[in-house]
Amino acid sequence: MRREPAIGGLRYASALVTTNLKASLALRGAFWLQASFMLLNNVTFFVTWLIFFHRFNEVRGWRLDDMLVLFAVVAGGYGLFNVLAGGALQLARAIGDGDLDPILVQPRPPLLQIVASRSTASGWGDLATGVIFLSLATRSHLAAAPLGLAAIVASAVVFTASAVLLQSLAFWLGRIEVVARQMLEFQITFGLYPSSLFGGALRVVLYTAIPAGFVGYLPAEFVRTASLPALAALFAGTAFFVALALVVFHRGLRVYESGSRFGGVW
Amino acid sequence: MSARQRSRATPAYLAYAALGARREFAGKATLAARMLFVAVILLVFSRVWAAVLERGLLAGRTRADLVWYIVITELVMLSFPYLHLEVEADLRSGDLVARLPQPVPYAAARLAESAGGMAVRLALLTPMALTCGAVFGAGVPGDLRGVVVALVLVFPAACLAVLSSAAIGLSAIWLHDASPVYWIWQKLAFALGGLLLPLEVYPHWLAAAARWTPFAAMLNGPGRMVFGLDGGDAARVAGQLLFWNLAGAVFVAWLWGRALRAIETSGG
Repeated sequence: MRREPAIGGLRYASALVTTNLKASLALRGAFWLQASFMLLNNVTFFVTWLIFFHRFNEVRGWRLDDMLVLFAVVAGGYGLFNVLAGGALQLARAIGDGDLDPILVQPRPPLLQIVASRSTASGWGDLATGVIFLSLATRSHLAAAPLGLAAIVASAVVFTASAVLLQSLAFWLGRIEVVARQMLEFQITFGLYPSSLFGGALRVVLYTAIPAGFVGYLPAEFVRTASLPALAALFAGTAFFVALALVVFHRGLRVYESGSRFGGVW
Repeated sequence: MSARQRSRATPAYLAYAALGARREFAGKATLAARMLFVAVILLVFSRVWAAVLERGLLAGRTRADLVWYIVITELVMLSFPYLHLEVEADLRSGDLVARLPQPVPYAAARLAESAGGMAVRLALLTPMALTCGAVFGAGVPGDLRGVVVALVLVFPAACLAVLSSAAIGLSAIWLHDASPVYWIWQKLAFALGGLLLPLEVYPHWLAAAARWTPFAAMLNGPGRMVFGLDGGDAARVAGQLLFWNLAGAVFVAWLWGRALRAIETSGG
């Protein structure tokens, strides 16, 4: 009996995702333009790191291959998040506009409907970057490739949880779309640099307020070392952020004020 | 356009610039986010350069030099409004076609608006960026005259960025989505302009190639002034920026002419 809602929810989520993917692919030209240019964009950005490590070889124990893994995990995770759960980025605006009404009257879980309501084509470019960089980084030890894919999935889950958490603050703080987006940008920015650069209080911040550690450093560490402690820490951190996002969103729903809209953005 | 028409249009352009400035003031959250972003990037790279310098891998440079270099390059990249997004939005909503009958050409009006917004951003971001430079760079560069020259050169460099954004925005008339072109332009600016790493760190062949592009004049040009004042080099960078701004203005005007024909052909 208890499994039925979960299975129904999964079926519903996969139907939503499939519909969104079809919608993305319907504009074939725009889809390929966005996806291929995002891949090119990421590769061009990584040139800076190629130049850096060509000149300096290593920075606090990090070499080019380590950066490849880190970049693969962050880009792949962010890409997967955008492809499957891009709707999370619209949440604060919808709360501010009182646009959740059409979602709340439907029988399916509202958060699931929201996060799976959008899929961005550029996300495929990020995801492709992740897979390509991961295959380059693990070319000499193929056993690490499945770990890399698991790390990308974990990173995507934390990206989704962070987005929901940040955007849900709009329930109490009003129009915070720009700030919520910027906080997510900070997570990506910090996540793309070697973790060994940050110590002390900043390191604590990077595993709590701006969880760059859980979208980049820790999943990358898991791929590099294949260690059980890294896996356990990654699992615990991911579970914690998912639980926190769910609690904050559902608490927020209690104070949500309807915009009395009949149509909606969803 | 005759001299008389130009003199009549000047107040209109100033009004557009004032409008852009007011709009920029109104977008406080975006400005605050950009200020925070400057602080984050400087914090990250102060750590990167500290790690490099502690191993003595970059002789002759201090952490302050390298952090202040990024202060200047980031100022250029963060001070121009995203004109391409506005052009794209105008195209999608039909506003662009609706504004065609106005006496001031659409592209010129949008450029004037962006220039006004850019001036406000520069005025607000500069003190913040300089403060962050002093904090994260653990001081100021040895030759402050270089910093002053760099700040002067930031203005024409940001103008070049505005022109680039206008050209990218106009590409939406053919591509329908200008963002992918912007991503590539931005990352080329990172890589060939030396946004985060001075070109002296690059392999010689790549640095030599990068210097032929507008990106190097736009970012590395003003940025390297903080390493110490060199009058000849400053004049060379100013000349390069003047050249690329003129070339950019001609290119935008040409693109706008093509865009007008495309709009007339397709009926808007």
